[in-house]
Amino acid sequence: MRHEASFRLSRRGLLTSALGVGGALALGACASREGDTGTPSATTGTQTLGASDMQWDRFKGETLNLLLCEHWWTSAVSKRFPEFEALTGMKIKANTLSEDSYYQQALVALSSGATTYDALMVGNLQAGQYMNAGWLEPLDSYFGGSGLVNADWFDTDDFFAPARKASSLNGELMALPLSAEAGVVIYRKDLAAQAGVTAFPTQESLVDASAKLSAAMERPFAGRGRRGLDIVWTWTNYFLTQGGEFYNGNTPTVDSPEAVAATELYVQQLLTKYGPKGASNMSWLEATGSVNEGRAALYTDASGLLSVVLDKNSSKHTDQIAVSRWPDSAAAKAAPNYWYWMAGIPKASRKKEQAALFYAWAMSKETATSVSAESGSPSARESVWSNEDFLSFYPGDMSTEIVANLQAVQPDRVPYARPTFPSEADALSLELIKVLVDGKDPKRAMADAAAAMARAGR
Amino acid sequence: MSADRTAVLSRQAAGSPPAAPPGTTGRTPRPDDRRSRRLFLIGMLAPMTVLLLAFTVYPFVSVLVNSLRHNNLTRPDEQGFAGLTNFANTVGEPGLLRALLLTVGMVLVAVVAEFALGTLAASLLWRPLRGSRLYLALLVLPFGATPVAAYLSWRLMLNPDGGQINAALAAVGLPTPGWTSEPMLAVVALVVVDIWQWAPFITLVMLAGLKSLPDETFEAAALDGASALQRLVRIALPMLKPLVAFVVTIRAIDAVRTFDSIWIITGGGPGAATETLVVRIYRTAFNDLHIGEASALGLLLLVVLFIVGKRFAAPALQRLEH
Repeated sequence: MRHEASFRLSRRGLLTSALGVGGALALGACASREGDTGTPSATTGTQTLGASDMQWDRFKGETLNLLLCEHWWTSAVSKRFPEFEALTGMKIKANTLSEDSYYQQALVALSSGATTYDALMVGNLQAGQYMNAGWLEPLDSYFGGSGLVNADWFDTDDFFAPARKASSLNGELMALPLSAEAGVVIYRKDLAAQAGVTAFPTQESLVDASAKLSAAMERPFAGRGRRGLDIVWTWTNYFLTQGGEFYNGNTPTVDSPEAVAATELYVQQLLTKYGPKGASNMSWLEATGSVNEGRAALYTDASGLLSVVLDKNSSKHTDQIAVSRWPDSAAAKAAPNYWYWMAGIPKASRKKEQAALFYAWAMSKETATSVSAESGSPSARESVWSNEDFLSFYPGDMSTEIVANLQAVQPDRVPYARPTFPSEADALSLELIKVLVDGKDPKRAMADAAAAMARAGR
Repeated sequence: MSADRTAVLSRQAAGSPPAAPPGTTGRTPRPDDRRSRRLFLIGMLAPMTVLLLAFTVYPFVSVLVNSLRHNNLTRPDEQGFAGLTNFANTVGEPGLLRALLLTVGMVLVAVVAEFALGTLAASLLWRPLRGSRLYLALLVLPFGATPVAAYLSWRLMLNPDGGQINAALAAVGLPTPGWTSEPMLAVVALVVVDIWQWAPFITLVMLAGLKSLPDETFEAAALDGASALQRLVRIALPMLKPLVAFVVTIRAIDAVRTFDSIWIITGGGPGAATETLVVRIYRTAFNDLHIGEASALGLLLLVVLFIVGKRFAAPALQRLEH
């Protein structure tokens, strides 16, 4: 048992908003965030950015079109756009969409080769598709020492090394990571103490902990089981930590003993035996609901979801929530899965330099720190994680656990950069769900999954 | 439409002067009149023609071309003519037949239930009823609600773990089914949501039809001792047969295209349990980025819709016209 805290994140009424239908009648109900006052903090700004020794007003009078996805970073940074406009004399037009709509819009905009967007957010899973398709502008020439951005001041090395790697193709930076999440164990410390659960030394010990917690509640474990990346994302934490690899060359290897062990552990034991009723249709939305409403006490998912689990508006037990880094397995060291939101420039953009200047401001240490300190957004900049204001969102040494996890991420082992991975992950998810819903033998399911992934990647 | 009137309209559309009414001496229009009439017709037709070209013809041609090309966005280097490969790949995919049968099954059940419930409600509102205006207003709500928000609410209400529906069932000691986690129940849940949303639409259409019927017929039938049910089933519905055929066909075509409710509530799951043809097309295009195969699937769907339309909608429209 490692770190615990009574969280005081005060935003993210996503769950509340979604349930509260009424005025939040929109898919992107994830916009209601308490604490967003609309008043930019005085701590960032032009003085510090002025020390960047850059000519910020070189594109004065021009307008930048942005495509953004609803996210806590988006919400926080959008409120600071007036600062950027004052600094540069440029105007920003941002189209912020809910996640599903955003992915469609981004795909259409990028694949058409004639987009009107000058800069856009990039999802981790889609990054590989976009990079390999040649839709994103390489960024080294903008942030690696051009006359446009002061490279020493911007300091791309400050981004977590795994995040930098995940944002690159063949060693070239194709996007800038803006938020960083990794798999963690979230649990109720009060119930764990009652059940005599004091630590999670291995991921196998989660089964034992669930068994003990089941004395207090019928189904103490929560996790995602919905088709697609939902179930695959969580499963990947267990799979990598078992020592599994997705491919040998181009051949899927999810029929390995490690994959079978991960499936037995996560799907067959934790989800089926101790997981919530209806796990096969659960995304993070339902899974966090189980935790927030006190129906589950143990939850493995992305650290970014702490914002939901610890939101006092939607959770009844925020004071009792604790976090532990991803445990090792009996076979290998912990290798948590990850998710980075990134920011890129479309190759077809007609204002690439202007977009780069925008990122130089939006993703500078100064703005990233202010945005994170104000909103709790888990920045991909390592320096932000030593800022006292930001860390106050993660009381105790919870942040130490999260940072340890972020540093333990091994991006090479998760094939997000593989353009066919979304289809292959979907094929894999179907077999995992057969284990969950139909009780299919994990060994057979994983053999079928490997074959299905090979077909999907054809 | 009479044959005479059709002839007049077709002559007008062709720019010919209308024939003089029988028994009168027609004035031959001057060239200026003809030109202005032609300009008027072009002006009236142009906006719709442009819209049709942009939003119907162009997308259709684009889908047709894409279905015959290697167009996988993850492999930008492999473009070119593919012949019928995309069709072969999609037809050969395990699960396509299942998706097709699921689509047909869901549409059949949903549309029949919607028609039955919608007509029943319309018959109740047909004659003066206290509070009927309020009922009518309430009927508009389901298909007037913001769809995505409504489906998200359904998703949370149907959640087997902590959803309001199961909470209510548990409160009265009833079993709590896995509405969206058990394959068969997930299909049922989606059909129920579709009925909730669209049965009121049928009610309104049928109510409008019922109110247009002559009262005398039904008064006479009542005097002859026909019950309310008999008056509805044996007199009203046969009189409204073209309208019934039309509304059912339109609803069926619309139901085949249902996507948002399925995507939001179950995502096509659990597994592929609720993956209809349209969800499959979306996944192929936007998840797999196989634009060529998605286009081929889209054309298959178009063929299905064309057959339904040709078989049912066209005759119904003709009857309505008469």
